[in-house]
Amino acid sequence: MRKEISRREFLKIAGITTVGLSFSEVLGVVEKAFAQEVITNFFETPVGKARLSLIKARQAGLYRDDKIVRRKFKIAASHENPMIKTFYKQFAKHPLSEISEELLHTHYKPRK
Amino acid sequence: MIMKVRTFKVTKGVPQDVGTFRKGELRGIIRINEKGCWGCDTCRSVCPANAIEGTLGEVHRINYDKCINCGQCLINCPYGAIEQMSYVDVVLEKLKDKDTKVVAIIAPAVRVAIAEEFGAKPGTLTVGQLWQALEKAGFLIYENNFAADQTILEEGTELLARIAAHAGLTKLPVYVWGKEFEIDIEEFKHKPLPQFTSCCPAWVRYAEINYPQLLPHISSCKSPQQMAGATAKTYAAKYIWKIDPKKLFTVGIMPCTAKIFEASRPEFDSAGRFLNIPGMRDVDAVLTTRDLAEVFRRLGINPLKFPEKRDPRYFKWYSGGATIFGTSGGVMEAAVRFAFHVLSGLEPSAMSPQWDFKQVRGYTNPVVSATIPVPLRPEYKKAFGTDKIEIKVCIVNGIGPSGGHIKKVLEDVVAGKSPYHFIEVMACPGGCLNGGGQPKHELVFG
Repeated sequence: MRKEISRREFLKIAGITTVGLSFSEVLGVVEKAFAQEVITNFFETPVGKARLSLIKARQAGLYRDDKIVRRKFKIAASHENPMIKTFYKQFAKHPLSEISEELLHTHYKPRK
Repeated sequence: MIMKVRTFKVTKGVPQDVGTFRKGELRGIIRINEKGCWGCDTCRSVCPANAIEGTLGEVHRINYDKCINCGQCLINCPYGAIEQMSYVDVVLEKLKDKDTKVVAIIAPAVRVAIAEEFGAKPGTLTVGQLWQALEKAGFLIYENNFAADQTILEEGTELLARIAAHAGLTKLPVYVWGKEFEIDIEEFKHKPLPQFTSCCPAWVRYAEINYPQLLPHISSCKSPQQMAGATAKTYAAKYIWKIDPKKLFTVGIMPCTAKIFEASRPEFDSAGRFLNIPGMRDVDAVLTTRDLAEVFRRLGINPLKFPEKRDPRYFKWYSGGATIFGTSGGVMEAAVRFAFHVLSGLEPSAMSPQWDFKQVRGYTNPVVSATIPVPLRPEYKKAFGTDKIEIKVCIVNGIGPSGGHIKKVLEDVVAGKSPYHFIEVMACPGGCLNGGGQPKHELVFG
């Protein structure tokens, strides 16, 4: 059986709605609830915002290490690493060599 | 405040292929303890792979066939209800075994986070301290930053080979260390551009599950962890440590939970195949940053008690480019530093700002793109028929909530209209330093 809304009940609901919130405010609330679902940028989500200072502190730590390695050991780029030179000279010959292909390269497979 | 993450003992890999898992791979590295879950939905809101099921108020579940093991759910769960598979007990046993040498493969992002577990403030850098603490615990050290340098030599050369092959060249001369070697690049005609990075195992699994048509774009290079394991048991065992490779036990020390899965992939027994030792794995175990802190605590070692002194020898040598692998844009910057040197023949002094390619740093932007002009050395001017080339790059700083950062970038590649030569992808926002294996902080929502 269908429940009829009495005239009194209708007025009550309408009254609450108009007193509490204007129509655009209602829309705003609905939009906000949905916005939570569709923030595509992690850094703008509540979790992302709460993690920002931690991420920035650790990033600064690694860029500090880059500077320390370059200042103390004079190695900015990978080919300048003295042990890398030794590794290729003694063993792997050169990048993309047969040994490199065997030990340092791989392949991928679909997983469906 | 640092929060405790519950762990459970490592299990065996799956006995045969099942769902998106292949025989031998570890399934269920991360699990939700249903007794602790309040259904707050935080895990689902940060999951890049839509792998979390359940709505607000319900106990949530992980769909393992979709899960890429990144652990973002775990480090962000406000109730500590998400747990991690752990090798701590296995590694402690191996450290006690007199017949075994345990090798620590230390990832870059570990050095800016492990101090947090011992009361230091976030971002505190420990390198010499970490080395000494590990040596005290009985580990041999193989910097994953050394492996990052190996990765750049291989992946950077692969990128140049793809670019040259698509420019119509059949041979690529490469000039490095004052020498020239020539690479046959015929086969690279069939390897498409853009090239994607392959360091991040969560991204690789994401692509294998969701974008199989893009797999030929992904660099054939193993991740640094896997290069380290394979090199440790072959080259390092024979030439440097002079030890029977069967007596080595290699342990990835990672800011990452996906690395636990990666080490179990069946194809990563390449050292064993190379040496004809069946069953030998390239990487035997993986500890997260949190796990290593637990190992130190159980052995009564506090890394902060050692002096911050560095004595690089053998596999402790690493470049500035390698250490920034742990932050979004770092792999790209290291690759660009190497490509810049090879293509131009220039070698600025180490502190020169010419080595800084700040335009490729991810920082806290979801996606970054840049065009890098590189002057060409005379030999390449002739080969390419131009004075300089522009390398177009893109950095995806985290796959993003439900793929929010990466979607457009990948769809452009699928549609054949991506303008880039090289795309870096890190599954975790900010890069590895914000990985699922890092110390867990209580989050304050503002």
